[in-house]
Amino acid sequence: MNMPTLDFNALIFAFAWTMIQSIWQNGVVAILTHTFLQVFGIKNPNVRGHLFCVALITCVVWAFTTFWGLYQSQLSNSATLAGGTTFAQALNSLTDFDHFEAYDSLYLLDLFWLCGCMILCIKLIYEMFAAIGLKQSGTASFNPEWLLRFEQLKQQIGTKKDIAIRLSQRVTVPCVIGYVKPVVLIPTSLLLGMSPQQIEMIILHELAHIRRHDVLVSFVQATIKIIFFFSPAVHHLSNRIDQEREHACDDLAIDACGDAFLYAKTLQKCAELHLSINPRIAFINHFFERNSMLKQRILRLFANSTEPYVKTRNAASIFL
Amino acid sequence: MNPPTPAELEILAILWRLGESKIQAVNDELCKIRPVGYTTTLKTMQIMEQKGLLGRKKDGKSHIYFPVENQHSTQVSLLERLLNSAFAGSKAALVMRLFGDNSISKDEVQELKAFLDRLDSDVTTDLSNSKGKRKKS
Repeated sequence: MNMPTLDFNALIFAFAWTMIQSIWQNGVVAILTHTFLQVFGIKNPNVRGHLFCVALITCVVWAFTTFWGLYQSQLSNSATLAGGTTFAQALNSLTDFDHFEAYDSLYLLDLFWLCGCMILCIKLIYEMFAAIGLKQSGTASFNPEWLLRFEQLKQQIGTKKDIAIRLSQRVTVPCVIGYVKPVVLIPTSLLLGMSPQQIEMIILHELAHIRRHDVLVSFVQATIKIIFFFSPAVHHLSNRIDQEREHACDDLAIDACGDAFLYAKTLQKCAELHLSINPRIAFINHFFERNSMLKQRILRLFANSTEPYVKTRNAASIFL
Repeated sequence: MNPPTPAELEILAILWRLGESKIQAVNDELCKIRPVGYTTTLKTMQIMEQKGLLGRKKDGKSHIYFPVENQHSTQVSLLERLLNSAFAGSKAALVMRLFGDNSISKDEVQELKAFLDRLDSDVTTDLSNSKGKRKKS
């Protein structure tokens, strides 16, 4: 079967218009998803996260079908339309306001996309190398008691992966790096600044991330965000996925350790320590978000549970 | 003022947890992770005191060190500020952080601390109230 030759002009046309169309398409998907979640009153962060993921995939699929449709229609039209442009022509069109050639604008749009993509790709690759570097240098191993406890916590969360846990002098926030051979990094300063029970909760949260394969999902997210970097709805959906992911891991960690209040205190203490070490001015926060993600996470734990929380403490007091 | 070095960070963390203490106490804590000589800790803490990261007061014949609240926020350079706002919320690939971005502010942390403290005290009052009720009946 003959592979049809790629019609460059049709490609440019279809691609640029797909970009433009995708902006409203993604918006529609986002609005539909929110409506769906609202109408069915879905609170479970796991379900919500998966729905947002489905929404993101829908955006991608819709864009592909749009592209394919446009490309095919252009191919069949190309016999009749004169279209077509060169790079020089397109550049000239930037300053030539008298003659508007549609193809030139679309060409430039595609170039803009290509530039944006390349820059973001380089940023991504740089970050990946930095992450691998963090995993490998400036770390020390935990003592045997902790390593044993770590194995127990792994069982508690329910993951069998080959996970390493190390102390790091180069991070200020506990994190998990890598997917195939994940490493949980705990800042040394944290180990000395918190009680063992609190550190276990932090480890449980990170293990929850590993169990849910979050590193892989976030990588796919990052790729989609690069391809659709111009679409605000995609960024919004991606942020929502991140949010629900953190909520779900909070829930998993609390299920495993049983104390929501201490967990919230641990998060708050981590933030305090982190801020003392890395004081940053919350520039963006004041303008765009009233509540940072951390604040939302902690408030959510107590939103509808001040009653049950009191009950748990009451119940616990019987045993004290 | 320079941000603390990793070794200084460890000492600050111990002091944040223990409160003000003598060098011996800090050294004991450090040794739980890896063997560190007393003189090393002593020298580091003395340097920190000169840098202004720690304060020192006399306690009989020895000294007690305490962490000084740092006021770095006014001294962050403009470039750093710009970079942070440009990459604020940027979630690095292959990394899952406990709390992802740098968007939390000092005010919010204080707010959360107050909220949690209030919750804790509410529970304690409820507990003591319920105990009181039991006693009456």
